[in-house]
Order: sequence, then structure tokens, then C-alpha cells
Amino acid sequence: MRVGIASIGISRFGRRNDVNVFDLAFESIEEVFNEGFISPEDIDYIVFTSTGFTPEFSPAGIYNEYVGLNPKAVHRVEAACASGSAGIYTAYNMVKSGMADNVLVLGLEKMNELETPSAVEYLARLGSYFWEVRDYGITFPGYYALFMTRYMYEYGATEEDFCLVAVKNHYYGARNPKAQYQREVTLEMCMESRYISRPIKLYDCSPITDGSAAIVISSEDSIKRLGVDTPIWIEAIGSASMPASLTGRTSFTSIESARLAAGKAYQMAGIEDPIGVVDVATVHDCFTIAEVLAYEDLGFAKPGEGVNLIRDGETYIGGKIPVNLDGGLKAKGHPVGATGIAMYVEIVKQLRGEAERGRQAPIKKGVGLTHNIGGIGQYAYVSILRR
Amino acid sequence: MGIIEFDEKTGKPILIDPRIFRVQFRSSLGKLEKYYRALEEGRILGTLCRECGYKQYPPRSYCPRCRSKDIEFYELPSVGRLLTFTEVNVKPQTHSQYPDYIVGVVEVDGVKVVGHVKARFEDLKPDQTVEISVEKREGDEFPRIVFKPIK
Ligand SMILES: [Zn+2]
Repeated sequence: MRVGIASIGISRFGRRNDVNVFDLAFESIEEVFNEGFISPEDIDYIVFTSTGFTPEFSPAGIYNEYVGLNPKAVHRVEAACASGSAGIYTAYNMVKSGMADNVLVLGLEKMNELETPSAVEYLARLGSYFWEVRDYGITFPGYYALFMTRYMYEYGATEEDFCLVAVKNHYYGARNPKAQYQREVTLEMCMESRYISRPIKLYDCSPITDGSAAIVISSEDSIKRLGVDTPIWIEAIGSASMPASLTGRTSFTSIESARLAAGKAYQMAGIEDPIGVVDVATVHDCFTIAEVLAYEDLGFAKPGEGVNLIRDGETYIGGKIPVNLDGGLKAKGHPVGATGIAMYVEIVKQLRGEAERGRQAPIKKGVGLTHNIGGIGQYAYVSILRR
Repeated sequence: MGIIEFDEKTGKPILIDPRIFRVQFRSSLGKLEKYYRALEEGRILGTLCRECGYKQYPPRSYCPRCRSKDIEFYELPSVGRLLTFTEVNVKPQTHSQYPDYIVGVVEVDGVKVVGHVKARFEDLKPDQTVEISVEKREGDEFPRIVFKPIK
């Protein structure tokens, strides 16, 4: 029995204080039901994914009430920036086990509900607080900057190289009406931006974002019964972990858990080499260095050669493997708990052929990939979707 | 002046919660008491498994490799290799009072240690040798680990 995706929804991303936090959740729910294949009565269970950022510490029940899904059961799943994929993993297993036919996964983060210094603190505390944040004040840009420093040193990459990732992702963000930044940026703008955690600059960073995304994970029988016209199937979800702390790392040029998760996903989906098989990918570009590491951890390039893919434009449409055609976390935005679901929504749109003009990949094999990392690899998920 | 304010960027109406929720954690130390007592004296302790010889930093009361609880503290050597570093320019709320600081990861005797690097960012290079010590920052009660490049 296959497990697939019956319906998707996503809010506009951005600094969304034009709506309250509950209506931001409802924007995705509304799209899910407006697709016309599924109605609230069909939903067996709701998985809510979020890291917090709200004054309520157990938000799942409150959102479930607001979006009108009582008395369907709900709980929250949390895995930092990979919460969305963790929620989908949970839903997949509920459906695969036969406990549910249709599970709604709703991801939400309204990060601007906190003022910026509190938001930076909140994000940093998704890392190893006791040993690293408390005494040394490391931040999330800081964690990834440690990788960027080492990567530049070992492989001779430059700050310009990483800015090329920002230029690409903004190019596609400019073509995505749901993106936080719907404008292109130049290499010069990126290079001139101020340091956030040197060598990471402002334009190397994904923004603080408000956004929600939702998806319905369903059994094959249910998808047929509901009459879903273009079902997208979840072929594989590979997952892994690694130490959250810097002291437990063996490499600062790779996220090893991502490498392991990719290996499992490729094995499950019967993929030997993703190049030429995967039509389109979304990768976790919370920082530009993270996208380059993803190229290598996913086997799109050999260690040290990921930077060549962006230099040669191979991750644009028409290149070897188009990556982050929605603008990525960088330009579309990164509402942390919703990101993994937003990645799935994007790949479903791409595989259905529903992406906007100028950002639709040619779909030849009907295969898409999502790569979603929580923290600096303490949570890692790689999924393979197929039309 | 009402209860409604406006977002500085979007101009949309927002409600600022007048009630501030103050959070302060109290971390039980258990066997880590010894680590912090030594740190106050300027010494950095790791743990060594007496069963299999596995060394750990930060210290732990059992061995993750063989699960033995026969563990002893040992003092880390004072010279290591700087693996990587970053200068934190935008700081978390709890560190916003400090000028920009450099966080580094140092490999010493098979373990890795996180601390602050005392140097100019421009003068640093990965793999350079550093001296490891403990000191208090001006106005701080809490000792911190610092790395200084050795010429
Ligand atoms: Zn042992």
C-alpha cells in the first residue's frame, strides 16, 4: 500500500502582522480544503508542527479549535527546523500502519511575534544551550559560520561563491508570489551586506519569517476514493541524527546525518545516482553555506565540489539539478516549524506542473527531493516524492 | 495613546503584552559539580573511562562507548588546534551587552572544546595552534574558556 499526498496548502510568507497567528494557520487550511478533494470530515488526525514563538506553550489544541477541526485528535511534533518533516514522518507512519486514512500535517511559525533580539535568542536555544549558548553566545548563523570558515579554508571557496547561492534563490523568489522576498539581488548587494556572524553576511541568511503550510498524507485507497487527480507518492523518507553539540562533531565540512538520511532515502527509492533522476530538489538553505553542504551531502557533487555547482549555474533550471525554485529558505522565507511542509508543498507543485512561470522545472522522471535539517544536523530528513 | 501599537516596518496594528514573563533556569549539576569547581580554579576537566580508555569533553558520568560508570576526571592539556571560528556580530538577547566576540572550536588530546578566541578575526586561520585557558570577562562572574593563538 503506497502513501501519498491528497492535498496541499501554503500561506504567503513574510512579516505577516497583517493577520493574527490563528488566521495565518487558516490560510493554509483553507487552501487544503479549497483544492476540492478532501473535506474536514475525511481527516482522521492532525499533526501540528512548530517550535514555539507563541505565548501558548501547548499550541496544537488551540489551533485545532480555531481552524475548526475538533473533535479530531491532534498533537504537536517538534524537531527544530526539521519539525515539518518530522510531522510528515509521523503522519506517514500513521497511514502506513493503517491507524489512519488521512492525516493533516499543519506547520506554523510566526516568528515576528517576538522582537528580534528575543527571536535570535529563541533560535539559538534550539542548539546546545547549556555548553555553547549560555557561556559563549553562539547563534544559529554562528553555528553555520563555523562550517563556512572551515569549508573556505579546506576547499578554497570564497565569500563570493556563497553569495551566488543567494543570487540564485532570490532570482526564483522573485517568481514566487508566496515568497517573503519577491525581488532579485546582485552579487554586489550580497557582498556589501553587513556581517551577522563573520564570514556569514546578512544576505547569506534566511530571514525571520511568519508563515504556515499544510499537507494531507493519505493511503492509496483513500486517494483513489477521494478522486485526487494528480496524486504524488512518498517513495522514501530517510532520517538520521548526530550530536547537536559542536564538541561531538567529526566534520565541519559536512552534515553527516544528512548524508546518512540521503543514503537511506536513495536506497528505499532505488536511486543510485540522483543526477539525471531527480528532476527538482528543495534543500535546507537556512544559510548559503548550508545549500552548498547539501549539494555534497545529497551526492549532487563530491566533497569540496559543491561550490562548483553554483559557480557553473548547475542548480538553476536547465542545469544538472535545479534546486530551490521557490526561492528556498533564503528568499521564500523560513518559518522554522513550517519549513519541512513548505518544502513538500513546493515539490508537489513542481511534480504536478503547477509552479508559476519562470520557476517550473521540466519534469522528466517525475521525481522530486526534499532535504530538511533541524539544528546543525541533530535532526535530518531526506524525502523522495514521485508523480 | 491606546493599547494598540503599530509595527515599525509594516505599520500594521499589534498588541504589546504588558506582562513580561521572566524565565530563569536552575540547572542541577550532579557530578558536574567537580567540573565547575575546577573551572573556577582555572582548570578544564574532561572525563576518562577506566574500562575502555574513552576520553570525553564535556564530561559525562558514564561512558557512551562501553556504558561503564567507572569514570575519572582528568585535566585537559593547555595547547590545542583551532578547527574553526566565527565572529558573532548579531548577538542573542542574553549576550547583547558584549562587544563582538569570536567563538572557536579547538581540538585537544582527541576531544573538542568550545570557547572564545582572543585575537583579531583577520589574524586567525584554521589549524593554527592555540593556548587554552580560563578567565572571567570584565564584569562577569562566570569563568569562560579562552583560546589565544601561539605565534
Ligand atoms: Zn568506556
